[in-house]
Amino acid sequence: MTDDAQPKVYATFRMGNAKREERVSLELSSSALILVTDTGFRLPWGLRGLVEVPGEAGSLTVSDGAESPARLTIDDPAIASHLRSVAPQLASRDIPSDSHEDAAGKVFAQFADGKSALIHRVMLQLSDTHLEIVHSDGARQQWALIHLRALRDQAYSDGLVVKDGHGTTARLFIDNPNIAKHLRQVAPDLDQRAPVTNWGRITGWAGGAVASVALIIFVLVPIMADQLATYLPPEGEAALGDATFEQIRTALGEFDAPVKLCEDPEGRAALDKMVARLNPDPDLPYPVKLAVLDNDLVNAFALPGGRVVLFRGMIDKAENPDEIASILAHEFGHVVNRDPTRDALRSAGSIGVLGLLFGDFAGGTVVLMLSNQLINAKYSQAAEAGADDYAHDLMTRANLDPGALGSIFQRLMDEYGDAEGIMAHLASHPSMRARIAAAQQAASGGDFGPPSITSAEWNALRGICGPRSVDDEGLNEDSTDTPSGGLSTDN
Amino acid sequence: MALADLTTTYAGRKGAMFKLALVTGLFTVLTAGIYRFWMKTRMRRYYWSAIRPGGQPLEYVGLPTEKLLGFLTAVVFLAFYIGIVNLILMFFSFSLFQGNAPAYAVSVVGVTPLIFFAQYRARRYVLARTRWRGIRFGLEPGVMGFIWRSLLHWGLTVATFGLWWPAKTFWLEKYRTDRTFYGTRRMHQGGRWFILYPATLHIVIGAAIIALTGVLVWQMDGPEAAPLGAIGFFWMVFGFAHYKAQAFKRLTEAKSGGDIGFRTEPRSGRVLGIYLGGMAAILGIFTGALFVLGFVSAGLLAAFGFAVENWIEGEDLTAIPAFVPIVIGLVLYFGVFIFYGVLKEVFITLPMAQHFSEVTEITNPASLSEIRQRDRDEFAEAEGFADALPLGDAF
Repeated sequence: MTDDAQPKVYATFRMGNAKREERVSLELSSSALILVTDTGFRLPWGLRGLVEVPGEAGSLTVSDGAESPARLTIDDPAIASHLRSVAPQLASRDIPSDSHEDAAGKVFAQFADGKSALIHRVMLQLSDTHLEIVHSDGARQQWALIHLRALRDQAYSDGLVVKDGHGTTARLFIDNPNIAKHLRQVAPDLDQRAPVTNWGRITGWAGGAVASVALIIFVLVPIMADQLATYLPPEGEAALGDATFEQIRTALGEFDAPVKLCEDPEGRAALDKMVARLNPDPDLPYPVKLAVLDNDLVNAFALPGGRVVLFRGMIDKAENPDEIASILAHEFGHVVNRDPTRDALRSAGSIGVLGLLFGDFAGGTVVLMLSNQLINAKYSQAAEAGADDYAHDLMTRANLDPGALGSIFQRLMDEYGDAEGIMAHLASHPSMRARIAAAQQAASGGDFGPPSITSAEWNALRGICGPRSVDDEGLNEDSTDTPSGGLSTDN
Repeated sequence: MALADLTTTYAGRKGAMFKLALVTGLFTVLTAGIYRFWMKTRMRRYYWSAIRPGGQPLEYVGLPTEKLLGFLTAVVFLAFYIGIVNLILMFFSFSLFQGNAPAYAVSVVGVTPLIFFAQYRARRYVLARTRWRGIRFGLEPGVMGFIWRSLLHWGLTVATFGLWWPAKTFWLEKYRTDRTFYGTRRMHQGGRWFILYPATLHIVIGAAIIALTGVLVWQMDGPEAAPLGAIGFFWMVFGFAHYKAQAFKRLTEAKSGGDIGFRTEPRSGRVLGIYLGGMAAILGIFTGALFVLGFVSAGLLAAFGFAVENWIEGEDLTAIPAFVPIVIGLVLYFGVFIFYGVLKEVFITLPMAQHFSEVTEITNPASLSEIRQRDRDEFAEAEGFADALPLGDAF
């Protein structure tokens, strides 16, 4: 019935939620696209208000404004292309598209709204300030570019998962590398981290944690260890000491053989005579078990249960028997004060707590041991001073020169230097200088008897580990001793 | 119309994981362990995002600072318990038994309920911080029930010399799965308690061969049958890989969330291959590094040999500060630890996650559309107790 000169152009029109679609013909004026229904009703849509909405691939779907539910689908590529050239909002967008996926220059992504587990295919449009997400039902939402945040440490690094600010649940999944790259350029704060809002609480709990750990390690555990050490039955202490003694012999031994015990009968007799002269028995909670180990270490220590260990290296370093007697007196002091037992109980408590703090990250054990050494060194300073005092006293009672302790310390210090600075904290001894001074103080003005053993006995004692070749003499420098010399209460 | 099943793609790459694990591992050591909360968070983000069921990546939204806070909270409570309890146990152990082994035994028993507590709370935290398609997972409160069930089943497992293990695994997994939610959808662990026993088949065969070898050696009074023992051993090794794959299949395929189900086909040979290949790669790299180190030092000595010798003879070695060898030792020590951890992630954990992801499908996904978001589970202590207690660090 029509007698139009021009051939008609058709498109499919759908109004809002209406199920029914109808065919309309299109007319174009300079400012409007006019939809003409079969009934002759004319509906003008301003060209400026035309926007693109998601629709079937290969066709162009437009609406008369972002909020409008009306849809017009144009199948003819030539008409679609012409419309894009006259309607400003339909012009090709900035976002480069994956040309293999969509010939119409549209950009799609997957969207989760954070409310339901559905994944929506949405179209993306970009303005200078916003990323617009266009849903298939025409609904639009705008995410400001400055609020866009990308998920961090993602495995698929060519893509992008973005959200509209921190603390939101909606997500846009962009797998297309070109789009992801483009978005990285236009969104300024994409990689900004979430601000930490709970520093106050963290600081508070950190303080609480430090305070409670300090209270436990420095107050509760020492007090309990001191108390419990005196209640521990001697058999218990002996078992603890024996176990540690065997561990030390194995650790210092070579090729799976534990370190040799030195038991030359004449040397042993000389040593026993020296102990008898010192006579610490009245003070001891239990008899001492004295052992000499065949090792270059310049060291001596006491273990729980009255075990006292002297290394050959220490005997080699001494220039007269009273120096060894003073070292023994010092170790007896530890036994009298039950220091080794206290230390063992203390470490049992504090190592567990420290393990808690440092966790089991790579090699945490080393940090653990170092920290424990630092903590124990604190106690040991007092323990060492106590053992020195006892040694001065015992030597004086035995009519021996307490200054001998000072002279062997002096020799060790000349050779290895005083342990000060950082090492002094790690070494479990108070400053050597102070200890030498204390020993000299104890000796001053005294008039002392002959040495504890004769020079023949001293020679026997020096040979307690058996005859040694001349080459071995004086080669102690390559030993692995600690800078502070000997006399620790390690256990 | 039924929707197609959702297959899972895996986007993790060894190179990226190597870099991430190495950098975060270094930071952790340099900060005396503080950075480990960041390390854990970043590694999880990567591992989670690599798994893409239906093409959408999982998301891990846990924060390092909430882990730090949770850890500090746990320390306040645990420091007291561990410090004092250890001390008292040590005392009684030496007073009554004259040895420390009983103390360790009692200490383990004392800390066991805490470990189960920590396990359940850690699972709850991780699920609460995991999302897929923007929807949160979650685990209902129920830690007390988990503790007594764990004590019971672990007790039975010890009492039966491990025979109860598959049943224990099933019951504990069922307890947790039945309390797991994806959004508003509750998960369910179906199947009967004995479904994991058939998966032990090859372990049993391997053990039987070893037992038979023992009998033969004893009967024939000679080592002629010993090679059979080696076959039994390798059969058993394969058996463990087979169990890992089959137990995963049997548990996963019996899980459901409403209409939604799972299908998975892990291959025992691949699991074994990942373990063996991974360990061979780690060993090879360490050996190679040792060689390079050897060649470099040999080269240096060859080039400057005399200079070094003269220097050593001329110098008083005690003049070198004591901290120099200590620092070199520490660097080597931590270096080996970090590197081992990194290589383990790259050559074992990641390929294993890849294999189990790629063979798993979500069946009947249509009703995903009915699932709605669930509320955020505020969780002040995060996984602090699990961080503080020496739990195996399975992600």
